[in-house]
Parts: sequence; structure tokens; C-alpha cells
Amino acid sequence: MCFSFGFALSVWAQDRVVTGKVTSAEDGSALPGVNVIVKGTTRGSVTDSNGQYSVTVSASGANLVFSFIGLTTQEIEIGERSVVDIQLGLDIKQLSEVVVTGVGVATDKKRLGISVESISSDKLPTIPTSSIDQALVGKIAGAQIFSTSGAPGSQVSIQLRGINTLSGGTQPLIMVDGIEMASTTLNQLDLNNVDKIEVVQGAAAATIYGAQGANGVIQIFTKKGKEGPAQVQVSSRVSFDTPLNVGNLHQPYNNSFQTDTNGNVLDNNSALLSQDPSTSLWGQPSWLTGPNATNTNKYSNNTQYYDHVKQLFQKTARTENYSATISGGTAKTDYSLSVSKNIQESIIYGSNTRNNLTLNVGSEIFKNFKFRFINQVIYTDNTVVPGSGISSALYTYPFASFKSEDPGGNFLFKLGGAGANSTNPLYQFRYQHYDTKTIDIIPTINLSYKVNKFIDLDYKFGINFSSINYNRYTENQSLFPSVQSTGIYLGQSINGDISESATRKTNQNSLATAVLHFDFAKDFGWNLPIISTTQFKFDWRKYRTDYQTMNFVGLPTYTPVNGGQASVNNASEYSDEFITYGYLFNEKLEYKNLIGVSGGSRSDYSSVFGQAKTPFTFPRFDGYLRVSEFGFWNSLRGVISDFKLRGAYGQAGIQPVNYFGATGVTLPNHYLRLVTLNSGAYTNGNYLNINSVSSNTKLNVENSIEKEYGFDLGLTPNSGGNFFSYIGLNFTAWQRQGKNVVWPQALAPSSGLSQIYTNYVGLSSNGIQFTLDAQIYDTPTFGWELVTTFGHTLSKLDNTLDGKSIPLPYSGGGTYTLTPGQPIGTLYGYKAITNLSQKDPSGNFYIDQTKLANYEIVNGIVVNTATRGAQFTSDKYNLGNTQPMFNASFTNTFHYKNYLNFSFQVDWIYKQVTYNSTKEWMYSEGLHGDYDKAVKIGGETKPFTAYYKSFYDASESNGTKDYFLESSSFVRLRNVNVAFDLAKVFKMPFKKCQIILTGRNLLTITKYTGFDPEANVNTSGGGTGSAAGQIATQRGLDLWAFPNFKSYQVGINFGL
Amino acid sequence: MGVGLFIQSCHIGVTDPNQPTTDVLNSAVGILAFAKGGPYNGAFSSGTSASYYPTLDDALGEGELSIVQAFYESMGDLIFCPYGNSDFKFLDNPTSWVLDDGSTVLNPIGQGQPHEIKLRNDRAYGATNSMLHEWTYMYVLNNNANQLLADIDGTTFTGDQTTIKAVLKAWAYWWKGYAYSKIGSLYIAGVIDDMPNQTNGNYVTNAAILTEATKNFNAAITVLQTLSVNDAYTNTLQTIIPGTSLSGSAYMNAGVPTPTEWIHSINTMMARNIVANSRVADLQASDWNNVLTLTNGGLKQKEVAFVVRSFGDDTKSPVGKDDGTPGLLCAIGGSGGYGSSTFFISERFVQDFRSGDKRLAQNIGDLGSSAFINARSRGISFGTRWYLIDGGSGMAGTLVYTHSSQTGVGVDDTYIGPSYEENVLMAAEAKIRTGDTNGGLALLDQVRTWQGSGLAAISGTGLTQIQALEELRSERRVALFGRGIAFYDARRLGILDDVSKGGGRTNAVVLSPKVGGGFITNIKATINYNYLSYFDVPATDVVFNAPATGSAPIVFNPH
Repeated sequence: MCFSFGFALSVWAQDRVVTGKVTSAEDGSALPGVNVIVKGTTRGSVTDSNGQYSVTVSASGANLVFSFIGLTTQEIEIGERSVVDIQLGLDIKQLSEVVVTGVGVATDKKRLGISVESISSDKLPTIPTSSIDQALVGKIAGAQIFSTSGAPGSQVSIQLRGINTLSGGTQPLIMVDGIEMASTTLNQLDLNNVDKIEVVQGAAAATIYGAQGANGVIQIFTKKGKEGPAQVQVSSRVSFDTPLNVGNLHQPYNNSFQTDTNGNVLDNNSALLSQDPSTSLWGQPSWLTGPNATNTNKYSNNTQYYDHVKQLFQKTARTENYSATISGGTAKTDYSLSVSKNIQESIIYGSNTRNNLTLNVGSEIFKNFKFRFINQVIYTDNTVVPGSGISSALYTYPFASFKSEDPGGNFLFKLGGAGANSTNPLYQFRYQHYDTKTIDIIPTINLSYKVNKFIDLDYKFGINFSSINYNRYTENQSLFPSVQSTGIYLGQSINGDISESATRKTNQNSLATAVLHFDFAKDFGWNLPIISTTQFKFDWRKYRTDYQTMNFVGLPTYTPVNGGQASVNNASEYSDEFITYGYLFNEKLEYKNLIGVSGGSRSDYSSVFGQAKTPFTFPRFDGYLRVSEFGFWNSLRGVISDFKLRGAYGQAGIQPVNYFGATGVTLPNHYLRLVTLNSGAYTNGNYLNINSVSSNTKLNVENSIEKEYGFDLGLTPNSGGNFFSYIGLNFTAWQRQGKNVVWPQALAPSSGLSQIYTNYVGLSSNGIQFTLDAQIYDTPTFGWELVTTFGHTLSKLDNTLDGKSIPLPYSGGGTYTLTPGQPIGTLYGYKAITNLSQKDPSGNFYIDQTKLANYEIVNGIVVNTATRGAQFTSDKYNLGNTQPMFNASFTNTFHYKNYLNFSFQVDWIYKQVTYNSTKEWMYSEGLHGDYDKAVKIGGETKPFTAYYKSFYDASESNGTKDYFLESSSFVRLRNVNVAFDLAKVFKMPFKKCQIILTGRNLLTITKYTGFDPEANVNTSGGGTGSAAGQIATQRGLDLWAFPNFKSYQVGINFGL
Repeated sequence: MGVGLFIQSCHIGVTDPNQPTTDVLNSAVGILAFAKGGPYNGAFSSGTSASYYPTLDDALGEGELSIVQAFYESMGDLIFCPYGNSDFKFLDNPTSWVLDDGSTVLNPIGQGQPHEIKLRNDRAYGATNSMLHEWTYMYVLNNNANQLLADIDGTTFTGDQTTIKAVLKAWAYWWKGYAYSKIGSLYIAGVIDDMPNQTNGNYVTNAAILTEATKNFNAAITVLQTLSVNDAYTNTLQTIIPGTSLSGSAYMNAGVPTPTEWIHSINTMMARNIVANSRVADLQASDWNNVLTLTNGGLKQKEVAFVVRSFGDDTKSPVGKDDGTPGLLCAIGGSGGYGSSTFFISERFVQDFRSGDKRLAQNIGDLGSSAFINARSRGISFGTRWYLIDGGSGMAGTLVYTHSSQTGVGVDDTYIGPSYEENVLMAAEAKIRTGDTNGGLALLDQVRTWQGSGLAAISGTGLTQIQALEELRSERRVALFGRGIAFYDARRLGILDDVSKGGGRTNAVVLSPKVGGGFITNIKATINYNYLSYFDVPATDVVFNAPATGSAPIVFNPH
């Protein structure tokens, strides 16, 4: 590398020398390495190890600019002085943070050409689950991080910048202290020991992560000990959680069953509907049908009303959290040890207990050689019943109580004539026991050596091991009269079963880095204010998954029992292995504080693409221009202290993978490149057959190509004043293209194959995002800060290999189709006919114009007055898209003196729609609360069942209809937090004694009529074979989605 | 460190330890395992051992035997399923009913079976498209057979190679013939594919597909005629037939068929292809003589047939013990709570038993107060007073339709090929329709006796030809329950046609809701099924395999 710059060097006759010392405003210590520049010139100097500098200035008045990463830049007018001593204070503003994610080398945010979000732990809420993913909701500008299920242990849905892949999910690369964590899920980590989280959102910033960076990166930094005596922090919190039902979803309070003249419900034999005395099973009632049936019978006498929502959900569930940390250090070593325990009860059934133990020690073993070891051990025990029972509960006729018992005191599984799709969730909770025990271990070592002032070497190695032991025990039900009678039981056999699986996931990550720094001015004394940073990296990863499942069927009726006592058993296993490695080269050049450019590329080899031989190379470059550092900005600097323009281009990849559900776990398949035969064994030996979904030897990496542009702005509209002393704005606009996205391409079934994996899809997304951080009021006694994050994203399908669309049929849910040119999440279906002269695409009237008298408009929809049925088009239309227009979040933080803090966060999701399949299913059989509402049809105002049922049956029963595509925009009071530190007010033997009151999800404003506008199922479509989490293609489907909960939490923190 | 990293990076050529690559088909052991898995796991499996077909997964189970056989049995009105899965609620739902009081009840959902199932013949409907299932499974079967044929000659076997290769070839031709028989008997057109993993746009008529079936059957017979039972023959078939299909029961002999027995199965299939695919009015005496010839060379009593059986461990048998067949899907252990089930016994099936038939008491139970009507208000055919008794009621010497895990393990009787009873009843029909009424009835009596019906012989009792044909119609329904041919009978007898075109069923038992509660048992109802006689080619195929110029019509337009 050779660079030459043609700066004219001139010597001015009247120059003089100014000297001085730069010290820290915090502790008065000398500050070495501070840049001292004569403003408006290229001349400057750097302070030595004693903080001393010497600089030549012209005789007339000049200004000196003192700057250092992390400290506030100061400009001093020299006047006639020959000695200028100054103190530099810490720059608390966001722009001065140092980040590493996406750059690889610790870099001041002021000198970044890419957008990196960073959030320190004190900005994260103390949420009841104490999990990182929940804490990130609303905190990352532009990211769509939603809590789509309230089930303990479930992960939030993370989509950082649009939808970039279809089969692998939108889950970003998760790193902990520089090492990939692929086996442990993000929600297992303990929020208590997080120091900082950094996020880069797309390929422009994530190229340095190569073939795994395209979904962005979330990097967690754990807390380190600080120099000084041991510090002890202890905290304890408890919260009380209640389920959300913001739409007041309930079953109707009246019914339309056949009754006698006294209003008693009859069975099919015209007797009073009753429970069979020997089995407690209900007899068969019949619904009144036809246009005159109304939902007006009261539940009474033989049929009482049971509120199944109340029977299913707990009144309150409790979440407890305890943690303790001891940390400290000397000049050369530091340590931090923390333990925590989190016990979360489900608002339905079961609980999740998580224990975290984290050790972080570092030491300078010899001069410039540092060693760090971090180990996290996590033990989780989850007894939550998957699936929640919501569909069973809402689909059971209200007269059947889930707590009803047979003469032997057993619950009923099927309830007899109380609904075809009904089963009793409480029966499952009583007789089927789930227990998943997970052990996660995440040890990492980091060796770093500063060879000299030019060369830094760094090596990191980490192993992430996760052992998941799943157990489902279903009791023997053969003696229950109701089960004997129906022959329908829970589990694999009436005699009970035990289903177990053991999964071990290991991923290893080895990273060697060499960084070369050259400061041409400092290091070589050239009058060339250019800094060069060169980075070489070798990055190797290996994932391994081993899975065994065992089935034990037919158990005795006594307990305890284990699989050894079963009459039948079988076992199966699966293994997956994936290896990839890559080389990175990156060069960054910076000219003074003004301009920086960088460029480089990364090449990756992988076992899943390029026939395991051919690498794929991802290029990148970025640049920034600090406009506010130019001379012409001087007059503006008082108000606009910083203004930086930046732009970046980069490519990154996603490795081909398919996830599939197995007993108790989701498993990866990294063998999509290897064409294999399906295999198994019968009693007389093995069999093989052609896989209907074929692998493809030519599969390649999914490539994401991204451009981002933005600016970072620091405003000081009222510098030195109390109001609006500082406003920071980081704005980014981005565009990305996903090429070669992997999808199982459909084939003609007559070929004998149904699908083949290909690089089938092209995607594109664009969006804007910003963070606005305003110090609204700032004095030592009182402060008010408002942080706003905003993101708008739209993702669409550009093309497919054969030009065909991809329908995503899913039994029971809305019909999504991925169509070239259309946004992802688009629903196709029937529209309600809203006026009598509405025409179909061919120009024909939907309503027979000679029979207009038979129709009227009810609640905005054309209804046939004779059948009382709502009318829908017979053609399918594009009904809309479930991606929100934007999501924004507002966090207000107030502090009073040093002991009282108050903050609240409001999240706003705008123009989002959700397909309410739950409602459609409940409409199908008169089980939705709407059935109680009277409507005026043909002059009569009554709750006509035919009217409501028609929404399910019209045009296509259970077909996708705009009526069920509801606005799920919402404003949610996500978090309210009050913290009062008694130790700062009263004399106490603690450094800290803080009482914290927290409320989460306390208020939701929405028009959505289901439980929770944020909850949805995120399913991929296509049934049982592709149950991976984080699937992007079918967002916004509420099919028995598990609502979030509202919680009130009280906690106390002690510091010694 | 650097050296270590370099060594790490050398190994990225992973192998899949879970499944062998296609290279294994060059070995004898691979070929034999493939000969077994192609048909039994590829096409017929259900439950936990099923091959996964993402396009056909609709949560009810998978496989030719459970869902597709249930299509045939429900369109033939032996059973019904009122739910939306795989589109059953339209597939087996008639257009209208005329009740005993003369009133007409219209189907409350949709615009009739032809409209509704054609509407859903679209990729957007996935597994709900009932036209997709049989097509997919049978082309999977054909494709696995094509792959087998492609690999036999290049493989070296130990021992009597000539016999082993001949058995495998006969096996492949037999399953190709079987697949084309099923395709040609349900779809308006099909394609002829002989190359592995490939197809072509030359759609030919269903008649041409049946001709292709005959061609493959004859190829199998030609090979089988060269074979005799020896160790290589027996060992090969014992390896490629699942272990659970190698043992028989009282009413079904299973195991290794001799070449003769195998040819008998083929002949019965060829007879079925004639009978099933012609309207009775269209069959000439010469056709019936062909049927007689074929059935004479068809399956005899106690001959080994092609079957599957469930097993205590579902993973070790192609067929799941709870949901492998329509019978298993319908069966319940007790009489209560039948409303919670998915598949049900039709009133029109139960009414077809003759008075005193022990098969009724053995297999059909009374729901009593748990009877239900007009399930989910979707149509009055969806109602019944009966249930299928799992494992029978314990009468010795009388056929039991189905056994699930409730009462026994390993005894399910499920034919995948044709049966002795079907062969005899086709022969009986040929005789009756060609004037030998008594000769035909004697054969019919043989079936009733064999199945332990306890019914007195009706041959020699002076029944007219019309009466004899009515006995034959009902006997086929009762004797061949669960064997997937009820739809063919309803079609060829014209019952599925619109009433205005002479179709429908009269004097049918139908339960209708009664005003004020309960139900009315109509016994003289007329049901206008108005079902499609043939299915269209699935849209999924057409989209990815457009018809070439000169192709036969791919859409069935009833006239």
C-alpha cells in the first residue's frame, strides 16, 4: 500500500509555540493521545503520556481544537497566551460512543460510515422475564421486534430490516462478546449481566460477518468488573401477570340451540340436554338453522354458561426474579461473577424457571498481552404446555364446564356433544405433563496482544453448547369412563405414553484478527493527517446437532412410571453438521476528523453451498464526511454541533437451511445440497424411497445486497441552558435486495417429485429509520430525556425463478400468496360487497340487478334480506398486506436529584392489519360474542345467526375474507418504571437501596377485536413440516394466538 | 495458531448421516430396500412412518390408504366426513334431498360438489384440493417403480441373479400397472412417464392410461410366467414386502404370493379396470365375457393378496394403527361422544345390510342418545345413528371390518390390491348380467358364506335378474367395505348423476332435523348426489407441466 498526498507545506515566519497540559475533568489525571489541532490548518499535535503538548501557531489569534474519542471536543481561543491547559470532560452524547459491531475494530460513532445502534443496560427496562429479547422491544430504530406470544419461554419475533429470507427465518446473527451464539436462544440470556447491546441491521454493515450476516447482528456485551474494591449488587423482583384481552374476546352469552317451550336446550332425541350419568359426556344438541334463527336463548337450568376464557386463563400468574453480582478488579485484572434466577408462571399453565451463572475475568498476563475468559451457564426448566389450549377452549360450547368430572372424579377429554373441535384444555393440564430441561454453556476465551503501536493481534474462541431434554408424559386413561366411551384419548395410546427427546446442539466459533494502524502524522512525523486501519480476519464456524427421540407407549395405571415399564417402545435419531469459514480484508483511511472511507471484502466457504468447494465473495465499502468539522461550519457550530453524512454499501449472506419440527424441538437441516433417499425400517428391515422434496447439488448462498445512507446530527439549540441542551438525530434510509433466496420450488407432481430446493426467489426491501434523542430539560436536580425510535419498512417479492407465485395454504388460516411484484404478507380472498352496483373484474354486477329489492345494506355490507346472509364477491382480490406502515417508540426518562427515576415507554404500531382467523373459526359455529349483537335486516332488529354465520360460509366457507382482516394498529404503554434510591436519601449501610415499581403492557389502545393485536402465530404455512420460529412469510395471522400479559412488578436493588 | 486454523478449514465436505445418497441404488441391498420403500412408504404409508408430502399435509393424516380410500368410500356414501380438511365437506355432500314428506332440502353450503371441488383445484388451496391426492401418490408410486427399473440391470446380486432381477422387474411393472389403473379410473386424463423424476406434457385420455396399465400388467405377467417358487424368489419377496404384510388372518391370506397367485391379483385388477370404468349400460356381453375370463384367472379363496397391516409400533408398519385406513378412521371403541370423531358410518351403508346379516351385528353399533344430525349445519347427509365397532362385537366366524389399537394390535385387514371377494362378486355380476342369474347368485352366496354373514343362500330362490342385481349392489357395499371401490360402483350404476339425468338414490334413509327438537328418520328420501364422475387433472400439474399440443382434455366437463 502506498499513499501520497500533495499537501503544500509552508513555514510561516511569525510562528510561535503554544504548550500546555490536557487533563481529565473527572479525576484530574493526565490525558495522553489527545489531538490538538490549530483550527483552520493542517497543523496539530498529540498529547504525550503526561498529557503535555506543544504546537506551533501563527502570531495572530488562533483557536485550538482538543479532541479525543469519548470526550467532549473543546475549542479554545488562544489569544496572547503561550500556555493553554485544559480539562476535557466525558462526552455523554450518543454520537461519542465507541462501537465494535459491524466494524470489527473499536470505533467512535463519530467516525462510522455505517449505522450501528447501541444501547447500554441502563437504558433497558427491568422487565419481569429479565430476558434480553423482550427488553429490546421498541429500543432499536427501524427494527420490528414484537412479542408475538405470551407463553413463558417463547421468543420474540425479530426482523431488523425487512424480510430478507423465506425459509431460514429473519433471526439475526447473535454474538456474545465477539463470538457467535447459535445454539442458545437469545431469551435464555440474563438481562442482569448485560453491559451493552449493539445492533447492525443489514448487509451494508454486516459484510464483515459474511455468509451469516444478512439478517443483521445483535451483539451482547456482558458486564466486566471495574478497578477498585469488590462491589456487590443484589436485586429481587416479583411481578403479577394477568392475560391481555384488549378486544374483550368472549363466547356469546346467549345461544341458538333447539329448546323446549321453557327455553331448556334439547338433545337430538328431544330430551333435555344433559350429561350421561355414567360418563358425564354431554348429549348432542342441535343448532337452530335458517334465516329466522336468532341467538337469543339464555343459558339456564340444564345448561349454564361457563366463561371458557376465564376457565382457561389464570387470574394472575407470578414472575420472580433474583440476582446477585460481585465484581471488582485491579489495574491488571478484573472479575465479575453473577447469578440469577427467574421463575415465570404461565398465565395459562406451567412455568419456566431459568438459572444463569456468568463469570467474566480478564487479566493482562504480561505487557500488552491480555487474556479474558467468559463463561455463562444456564439451566432452564420449562413445564409450559405447548399449544396453550386456546382453540379447544374457545371452540367448546359454553354449557360444558372444563371442570366437570366423571363419577370417578376424572376430568373429561372430549366433552360429548359440546362441539366437534372441542377438547378440554384442563384435561390436558391434569393428565399430560411436559417438562423441558435445558442446559446451556457458553464459554469463550479472548487473547489479545498489542505487538507494537502498529499491530494488534486478537484471537477468540467460543463454544456454545445446549442440551435440551424434553419429556412428555401422558397418563394411562383407560379407566376413565368418558374416554372408554368415546375411544378418544390424549397422547399416543389410551394406555398412556412417554415421549422423550434429547437434543445436543454445539456451535464453535474461532476468530483470528490482525489489525494494522498507521497514523502517518504521529507515527512517521509526516505532515499527512491520515490514519490507516487495516484488518485481516479468519473466521471459522461449526455447528453440530444431535437428536434422539424415544417413545414409550402403553403404561400401567399406577405411578410412578417410567419408559422401562411401557409395552411398546421405539427410538429414532437425527444429526446435522454444518461448517463454514471465511477470510476478511478491510482497509479504512481517515483524513483528519473530516473524512473516512473504508472498503474490503469477505470470502466464505461453506458445507452447504458452492458444492462445498466454491467460495462466495461479499464486497463492501462505506464512507463518512463530518460536514460540521469544516471551517465554513463555524458560525453554525453553536447550534449544530455535529453533522455527519454517511453512506455504505455491502453484501452479506444467509446459509441455505431448512428447519423442521421434531419431538420437543426444532431441528436444522443443513443438507439441502445432498440428494438423498428417504429411509426407515419395517419389522423385516430397511426401506428406501425417493424423497418427494428433493435436495439440489447446485444450491448457493442467499445473497443480500444493501445500500444505506444517513446522517448523524447533534443539535445544541440552547447550549448551556436547561431546556433542549442537546438533541441527537440519527437518520438512515436503506434499500436491500435479496438474491438467490432459497425456497422449495414446486414441481409437477406427475414427475414423482413435489418440490426441489432452489435459489428460487428475489426479494427487495426498503425503509427509513431514525432515533431522536432529546435532552428536554437538564439540570443536576431534574432531567427529562425523550428518546424516539422510528422505522418504516416494506418488503416485497421481486421475482421467482419460473415466474410463478408461491401460495402458502395453511389449514384454518388466511390464504397468503407470495406474488412477484407484491409485498410479502399479502392476503388474497373475497371482498364484502358494499354496494348494490358493485361489478366484478369483467364488468358484471355481483348483485342481480333485477332482484335489488331482495338486498339491503347492513353495517356497510350488502345482505340478502331473505337468507339474511352477507354477500361477498365470487372473485378473489388482493385484500391487503400485514406489514405495518411504521412502528415507533417513545421513551421518556425523568430523574430527580440522584435518587428518583421515572420512565415510561409508549410503542406505536401504525397501519398494521392482522388476519383474525380466531374470529372466523368462532363465527363458524355461533361461538363468537358478536352473535349476541342485534342487527337490523328486513325491518327486524335481532341477533340473526344466519347473518353472522354467513361471514364464515359466504363465497367459500372458511375462505379468506376482508371482513376478518382487521386493523391491529395499536398504541401500547409498554413500560412504566419508578425507581427510588433510599440509600441516597437516608443514612444506610448500603451504597444503593433502590425500590423499583414497574408496569408492563398496562394500557393498549387499538380497534383490534381479538385478545392482543401484537400476538400472532408467525407460521410458515404448509402444516407440520416447517415449524421453525421466526418465519417471515405469513406474518400477521391470529389463529388462536397466545396473548401477551399485563404485569405489575415490585423490586429492590441493594448495592454494597 | 495459524496452522490449527488452516487444518480446521480443510474439512467442509460433510455427509448426511441420516439418509443414504442415491448412490446406494447401485448396490443389491439398496435396490431391495428401495423396492420395498417405493410402494409401501412412498405411496401407501400413513401415520408416523409416512413420507412427508408438504402439498398433501392437512393434519388429518396422509397416504393413499387413509385419505384417498376415504375419498372413495365417502363419495360412495359408505362413510362421511363433515369437515373441511381435504375438502371432505364438499366432496361427499349431495346437492339436495327430497324427504319423505315431499319437501326438498338444498345443500346449505356451497354450490354443489362439482363446483366446489373444481374451485379448489388450484395451488392456492394446497392440501384442501382433493383432486391432488390420488394423482400425487400414484405418480410417486410410478416414479419409484421407474427408478427401480432403471437400476435393476446394472446391479449385481448374490445368488440366483436371474430370478432376483425377474422378481424385481415384475414388481416394478405390477406397481406401474397399479398406479395407472388408479389414475385412469379417477382422472379425465393422465401422462405416461417411464423416466425417473421426469414428466411430459402429453396428456392422454384415461382410456389410454388404462391401456398403459394393461401393458404394464401384461409385462409383469410375462415375467412371472417364467418364474417358479425357489429360494431366490421367496427370499426376494420376503425382503421387499414389509414384515407386517407377511402374515395372514382368518379372512385375508397374506405373505409371499406364488407367481400364480400374483398373476391372479393382476387379473382381478384388470377385471376391475373394465368394470369400474364403464357405465353398466355400456358394457356388452363380450366385455362381461372378458371379465369372466379374467376373474376365472383371478384371486381364489385363501390366496395370498397384497395387504398392509398395522403394528403395535406404528413406525414399523406402513399403516398407522389409528388412522391408516377409512375403517380405522371411523372406528371407535365405545358408543358415546361420536360427535367428536372425524369420520362416520353412513345411514345409507347401514340400510344396505340384509335383515339378519351377522356382519351388521358384528360391526355396527347404535349410538342411541348420542345420535347426531346435520353436523355443523353443513348438510343432512352428515347425520347418523350408527358407529363402527372397533374390533367387532366378538361374534366368532364373522368378518370384522377393522381393528384399531383399542382392542388388538397387528390384526388390521387392509387390502391394497384386490381381494378374493371382489373377484368373485365381479364374476357374479358378469354371470347375472349375461343371463346366468342363478350362477351369479351362487357366487354371491359364496362370499356371504365366506364372510360369515349367516344369511341363507339366495341362489335357486327364483330371484329375477333385477332382484339379483339389487342383491349384488348391496352385497358389494357390505362385503367390500373399506377397500376403496364404493365410488366406482356409485359412478357406474349412475347413482352419482344428477336426478334430472336419471341419477340419485331413492328410498334412502336420511335423518332430518325436527322442528321443536330431535330428528325425523326419513326412509324414502331421494338423494341427488350430483358428483363429478371423473376428476380434472390437478392444477398443480398443469401449472408446471403445461399440456402439449394434441393433448387430451384435462378438464372433465359433465354433460
